[in-house]
Amino acid sequence: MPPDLEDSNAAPPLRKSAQRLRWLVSEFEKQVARTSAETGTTYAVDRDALMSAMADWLKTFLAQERPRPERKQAFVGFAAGLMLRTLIGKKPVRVVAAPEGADDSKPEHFWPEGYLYVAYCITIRGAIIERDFHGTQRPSQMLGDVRTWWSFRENVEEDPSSAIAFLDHFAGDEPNWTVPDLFRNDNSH
Amino acid sequence: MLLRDFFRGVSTLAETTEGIVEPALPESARRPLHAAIRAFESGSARILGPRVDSSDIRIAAKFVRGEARGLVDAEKCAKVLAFAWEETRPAEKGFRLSLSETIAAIRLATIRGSDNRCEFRNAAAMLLELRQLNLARFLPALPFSPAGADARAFDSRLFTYFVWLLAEREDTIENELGLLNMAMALASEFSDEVDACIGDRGELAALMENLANHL
Repeated sequence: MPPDLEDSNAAPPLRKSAQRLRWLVSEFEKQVARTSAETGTTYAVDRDALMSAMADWLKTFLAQERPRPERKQAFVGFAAGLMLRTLIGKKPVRVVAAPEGADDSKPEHFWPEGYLYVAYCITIRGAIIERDFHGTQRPSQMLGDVRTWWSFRENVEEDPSSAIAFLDHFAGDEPNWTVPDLFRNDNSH
Repeated sequence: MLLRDFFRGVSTLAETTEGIVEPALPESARRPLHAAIRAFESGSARILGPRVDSSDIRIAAKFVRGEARGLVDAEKCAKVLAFAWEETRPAEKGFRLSLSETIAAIRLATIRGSDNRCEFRNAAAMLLELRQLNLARFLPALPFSPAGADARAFDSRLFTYFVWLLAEREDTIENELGLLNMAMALASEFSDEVDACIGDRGELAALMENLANHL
């Protein structure tokens, strides 16, 4: 987990910080550096596209019905899925250089941009669940399965909102494959 | 301040002239004209952008909240607005308006504002008052006020700067510029909401508060 997210002395709940653009942008830049170091992929960030993506996400987020108290943790997962959908749509990063010997049978090389976006969303999601709700995110083994990533990439091209369900799937939660862009305040999902 | 306004006017005039004259010139004459105007812009850019530091921005932030008044603070606030104006200019090609720092300082010094206890309502009152005073012109100090799309663009810019100044401050100018760009992205994303509430102080204050808190 990134150091900044481990700091439990910060006063406000992490989910409140995650509603501020400066925090989101800063964490995104850190995630780019981490993913680049872990995978050897060199990324270029289009800052205007990144700002636009964050503003777009915020508007969508603010338009959602507020979750009931018992559904707040589930709403964190939904909001992270909305972020993934937005990043995939706005494409704020591109690959400048792949590492030598990049293996397309690994998700991080099969779709480096998608891998970065998922890493960003799942990291923030897990950190908020841990800090604010004392829960534990248990990512699925599907996260490392390239066949799932084939399906993920193909599906989001046809239906961008399926990114919301895929993020739940990767994070080890039960996805809402039918209407992924609808957050339900009852407990059916 | 006056010198910066002078260069702003000449720079805007040069750009406009280039746009009108260039298509009518033969190819051989276009390049020297283009080079001359770029050289002028490069030289004037150093003068156009007023140097501001973090303390200027903090004073401007207090000013729009209604926590500072008077000529000296008004000049600081005008300087910061002019700084923001120049810094955000490259984002909008073809934007023809110019902001007179001198006029802004004079207007800000005499602005009534509001005695409301709510900083966001104070800021909204100031924004609406500034909006009526036509701070932006096609050339500084000339009496041709923007209308239509230009007026809407001016509203959007003013809204951007107020949201930026109402947000929590950053420690460095680099981070402040990042914050200003985020405010631009927010104002653009929420442009319909800005248009809908630009005439209503209460709604404008609520929108500015909401967005400033999310910066």
